Amino acid sequence: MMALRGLFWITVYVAVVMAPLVAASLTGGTPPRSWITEFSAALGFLALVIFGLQFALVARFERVSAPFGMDALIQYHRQIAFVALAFALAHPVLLFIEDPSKMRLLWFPTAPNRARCAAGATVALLLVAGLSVFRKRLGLRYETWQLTHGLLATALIALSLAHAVGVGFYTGRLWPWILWVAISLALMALLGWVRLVKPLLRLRRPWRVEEVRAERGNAWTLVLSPVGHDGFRFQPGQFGWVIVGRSPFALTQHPFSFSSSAADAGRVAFTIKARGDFTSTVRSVAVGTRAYIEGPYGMFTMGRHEGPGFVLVAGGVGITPLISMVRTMADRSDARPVTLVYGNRDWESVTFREDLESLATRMTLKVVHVLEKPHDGWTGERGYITADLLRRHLPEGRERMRYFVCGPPPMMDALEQSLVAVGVPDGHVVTERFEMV
Amino acid sequence: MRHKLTTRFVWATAFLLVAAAAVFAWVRSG
Repeated sequence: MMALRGLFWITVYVAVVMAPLVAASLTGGTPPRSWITEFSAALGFLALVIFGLQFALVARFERVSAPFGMDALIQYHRQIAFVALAFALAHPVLLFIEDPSKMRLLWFPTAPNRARCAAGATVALLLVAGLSVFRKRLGLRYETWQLTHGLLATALIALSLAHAVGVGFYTGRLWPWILWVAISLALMALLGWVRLVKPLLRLRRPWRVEEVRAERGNAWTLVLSPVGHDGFRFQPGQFGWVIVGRSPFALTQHPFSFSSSAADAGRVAFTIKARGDFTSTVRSVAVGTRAYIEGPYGMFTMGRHEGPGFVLVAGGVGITPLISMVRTMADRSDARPVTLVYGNRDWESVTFREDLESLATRMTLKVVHVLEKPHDGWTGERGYITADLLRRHLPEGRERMRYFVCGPPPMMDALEQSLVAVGVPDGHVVTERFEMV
Repeated sequence: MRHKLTTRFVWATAFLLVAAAAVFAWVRSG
């Protein structure tokens, strides 16, 4: 069923991207142009529609993201942007190669408005791409990036549309014109949905900060309870987009996994490691602060990947969705065996260390701590989580278990290979990757 | 594994679209 829904959305995506070419093909009476000119125009149209659809990919429509996972959609959004960037840059370059005299359109003072719009769009595009790729090296805050990304992307689309309409070779014809008006209206509706309707819905479902608790490993747990509504039910492993102490219309939000038990009706908790940006301000959030949560989202759940037992592999703060799974299983008296392989820098920074000890008394839970920098006298595992280490600790019938892996990207890459190397079927390994930029 | 599949899908989309653009140009330029 999910595969069919996935196929449906892929078909819709490809159909929408191709629609301008199909509509342009149907127009008659246009003067003939060279292959290069037409190829260049086609690349320009494709780039424009891909950029327009970028908004839809990350607009957090649960129906769209469910078959793929939102992390996969964000990855696609990031990677297809480079394809569209190549198309967008190839579009003028091909025209200049064919007719170098067209380069005079680059001279801003004398250029017609349609070329000025194209130049503006190119600048916006290069800024969007550059700021995303080099955000960390430029020292740009995530929130600033999120804001500029949205504004520049909107400018990019508006200027590109103005350019296409200004050129008017295809957009002036009836069918393409109808199509472009429809695409523009759809984009405006999307923007209205994300920036107006969704925040209004959030406004009606506020949350209150009940507790801010320090955890090991420089992490903080934020406990929220619903105000005037029933909250929601989430599945352990899922996440929500969180706004704390700001308007529900705030342009920036942060995705965090739930760390509390899903059996705990009403209250939800997020555990957030302080990393120097927004995450470092969590410790100073006052009890009683208003918050908003959008969600739950995510397919990193046992419900979608049932098995006779589970192996959870966590690196550092990657423990948060996994501790939610363990807590939920304990609360639901789920007797299926769980092995948690948990990598940390040192013993003192093991988030939820004591909680895991007490959970192990309530369920079939085996915890294998792996320390990168162990203290003197440490007799447990040390270094990184390798295939050899997994061989030593994986339970009997490892090929039937389901594996949930959450941690930094290099660890996930290594583990996907290690798990297959120790005989775990590919399809039994579930991962979720959240590198935004 | 999903992330590798996603990357492959990005490549597939790119090739499909370049091919579509080439066919479009061929049809339009006669």
